[in-house]
Amino acid sequence: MTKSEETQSLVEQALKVASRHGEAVVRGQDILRHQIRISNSEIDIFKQWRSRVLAVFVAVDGRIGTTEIIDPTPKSLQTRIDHLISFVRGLQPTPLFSGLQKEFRSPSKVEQLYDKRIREFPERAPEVVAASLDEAQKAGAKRTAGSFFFDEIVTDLSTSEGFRGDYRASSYRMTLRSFVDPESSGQGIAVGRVLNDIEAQLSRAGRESGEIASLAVGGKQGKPGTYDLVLHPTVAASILGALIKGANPVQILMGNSPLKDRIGQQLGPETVTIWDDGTIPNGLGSAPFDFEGTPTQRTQIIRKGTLEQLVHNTSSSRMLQTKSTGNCQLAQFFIGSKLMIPGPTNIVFKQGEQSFEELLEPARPTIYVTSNWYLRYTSALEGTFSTIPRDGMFLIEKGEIGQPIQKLRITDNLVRMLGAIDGLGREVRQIRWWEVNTPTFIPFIRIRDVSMTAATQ
Amino acid sequence: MMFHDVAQQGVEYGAKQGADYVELRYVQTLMESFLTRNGDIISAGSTETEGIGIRALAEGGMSFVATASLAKGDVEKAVQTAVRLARASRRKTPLALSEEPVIQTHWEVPVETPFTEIPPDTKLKRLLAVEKELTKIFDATALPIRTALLIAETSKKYIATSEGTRVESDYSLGRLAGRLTAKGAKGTEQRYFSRGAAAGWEFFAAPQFIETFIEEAKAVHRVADQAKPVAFDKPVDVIIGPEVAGIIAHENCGHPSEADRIQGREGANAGESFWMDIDIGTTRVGSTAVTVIDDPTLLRSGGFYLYDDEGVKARPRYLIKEGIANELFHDRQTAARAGVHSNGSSRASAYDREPIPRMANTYIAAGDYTVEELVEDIRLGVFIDNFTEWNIDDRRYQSKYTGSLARIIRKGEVTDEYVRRPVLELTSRGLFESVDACARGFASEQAICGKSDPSQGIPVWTAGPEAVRMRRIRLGGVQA
Repeated sequence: MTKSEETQSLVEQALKVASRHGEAVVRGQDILRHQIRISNSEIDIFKQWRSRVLAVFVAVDGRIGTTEIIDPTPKSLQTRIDHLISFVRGLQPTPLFSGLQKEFRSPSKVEQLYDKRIREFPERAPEVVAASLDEAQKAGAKRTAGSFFFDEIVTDLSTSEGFRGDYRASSYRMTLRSFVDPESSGQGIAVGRVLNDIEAQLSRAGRESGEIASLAVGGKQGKPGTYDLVLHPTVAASILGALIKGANPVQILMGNSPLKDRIGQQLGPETVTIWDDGTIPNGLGSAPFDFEGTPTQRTQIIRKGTLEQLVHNTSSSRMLQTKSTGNCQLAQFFIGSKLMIPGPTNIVFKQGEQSFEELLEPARPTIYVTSNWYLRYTSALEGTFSTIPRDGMFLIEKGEIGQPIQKLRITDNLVRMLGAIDGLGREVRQIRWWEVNTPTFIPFIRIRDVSMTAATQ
Repeated sequence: MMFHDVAQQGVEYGAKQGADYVELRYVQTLMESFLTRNGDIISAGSTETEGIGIRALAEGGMSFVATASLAKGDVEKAVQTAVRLARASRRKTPLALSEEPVIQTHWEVPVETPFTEIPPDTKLKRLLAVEKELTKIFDATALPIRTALLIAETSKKYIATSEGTRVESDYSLGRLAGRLTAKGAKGTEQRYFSRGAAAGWEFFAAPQFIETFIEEAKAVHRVADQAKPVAFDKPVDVIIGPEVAGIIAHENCGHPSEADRIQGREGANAGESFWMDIDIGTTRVGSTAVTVIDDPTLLRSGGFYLYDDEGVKARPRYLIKEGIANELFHDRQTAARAGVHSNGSSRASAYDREPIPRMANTYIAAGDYTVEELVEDIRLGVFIDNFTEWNIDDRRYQSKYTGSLARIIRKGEVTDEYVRRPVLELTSRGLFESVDACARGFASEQAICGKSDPSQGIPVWTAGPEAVRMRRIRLGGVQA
């Protein structure tokens, strides 16, 4: 029996045990993941994770529960599922579950989901990483730090309602940071599923991080105030992506989104169109079907500035008399166990018409922000937040990147910022890194009148 | 085969493969969690994980391999892979580990009633009792979203190294968390809070479990109902409660004093540190009133441990002593590079994560004053009990804390005038230099500290005395 046949067999055994008691989903994943971590321009550690994980969801008389069984055997899965069933019987029915998907269509066809060259990649990886570090150094970096993941995952899904499906996927993601001195840094990101141009992608990330770090040398304390911001895709994905992740009925129910009762409202200019797309080629969030077997799809969230739709799984769609959008996920809510809720796959922003240089053109006080982290809410319901730029940040002077500045904080409101978009770039990049956990395809974006604050002492 | 034997054979096999150092860390964890919203159960889960994390040092390179299989062949294959990956690093500057005593011991969290003795329905009923009590006090308009979480976690760990260290431990942690949305005359406010203890079911059975939710709900509703924006045109004295003092101890002192950040190892992830630019033992980073300690050995604490994940004995770390930067968090790798010994700071969040320098229970040390004494000479100021939004840059220098429950201090007394969302937007130095006195007492908040990539959420306490006084603070951040 091959490894994937073994996994399939374990998934079927688990489903048989679980579905005796009620509705059930079992997802088996064979995961082989590697990571290379870099600092001071050298490899700090080379890691490997090899695991088989069975994620089990059960619903018994409206009572739901989940578990994950790592490296299961026929005996251990029987014990763990018996335990889960007994655990679930001690609970109470939940309003968040109203049954699994029962009408199945063919899984979506997803291009560029898997590249078999990933299998031989561990041998090549140190060399490819070294080449990207060289690019960073050629662009001016004195030292580099990075985190490079690559993996292969085989997924098998079976549900008590009769769905059976499987797929194989590969992926990589690199975050590379260059430093010229401790306060002059730049970041580059490379993300994808197929390895066709991985060397070029990693080299570009290295080069960009080095260039930003070099330009950031001599940074001065920024002057607080109101500015137009040109956001690098990394920053736009963090800030605007955070708002779009709130186009989710469960997030709204839990008070985590400012988008309650806003469907049909014009939230942004007509140039802004955003969708969730679980089928986009090379997307890290792409897959042929979701956690309950519904085919993934493209779901319009904002069309020409108007909030049109939320993402759904079967249960949430029934609550709102609509249809699942193929966004069922087993996700962690904040801490604790995972739950079956709708979630984003890949967030995609429609490209604009402007070049990066054109976005820098207006003669208003403008700052270019290349990276950020720590987006935190004063009120998630309102969308009031702040986040800290990190790496190079620059004043725009005469339509060009000018004086590097430091130590300013973006302090604003997500809904207001969406409404204030006044420029979208032509080049769309896929962003996924530590601060952006939903893969987001997004261009450079210009936003008007953003509040920038600074420390008082 | 017992995990002791698996680990023993694994380290022996690693030595035969030519590794300079091999470490096997077996971890078995059972976590049960329950999440409710307005009395409805939203999520519940029971997950048991078991596996081994392996580190190998060979030819100056380090590797980490995780396997969930304890079968002899699989463990040997994982060890073999670890040694191969370590060699593949081809480092120019070889990595090393500091020399530390070989330890053979067992430690455990003292538990009165193990979580495993309490059935799931009892755990859920206890969580639902929160809703029952909250709805006695608040109607659905005043407190429209009430989220409550209970997490019971137990784990067994066994660390074996090729040097002969063998440390076994039994661990138990209870955590509660709440997220409340309150509506009042002045608007809507949200509040997240968490408490925790290294303990068994007795943590949840205690009356404080429900009292915490009630006190928090009253406080956030008071803010929504009464707090008004106040513009201070001049700097004012600010007193912060233990929750704010705790997050400051953690973010403005704890993170910058992690040696791996200072050595650049978190450069692409959690970032570096402004402590890179200072001299440990001599540089002043705060006033003489500021001492910040991290102590993993506090009994019942949310960050409790007695030996770290490299088998090094834990002890209190004096990070800032009377204003002077005093000590860093070291694991054996950072200690070797710095030419010092580890101070037992190495922690991993799960079997499949590498151990790295982490905090445990970080707090601003208490002073000799009563809260009344701190307040009595303030003509106009603000007492910030707790906070909502916060963030800090990756060098841990530019921080922001937005107050939630905050009251005006006028003529030496804390009034019932509530201030809406006062902002402390300060540098780490500006913040610690402004402190002139600390009150007595100690109170803690449970937190999950995030660091590294893949992310490792580690349970910690952030804590402080009843009050810390900061002089002449310009509130609100600098805006044009």
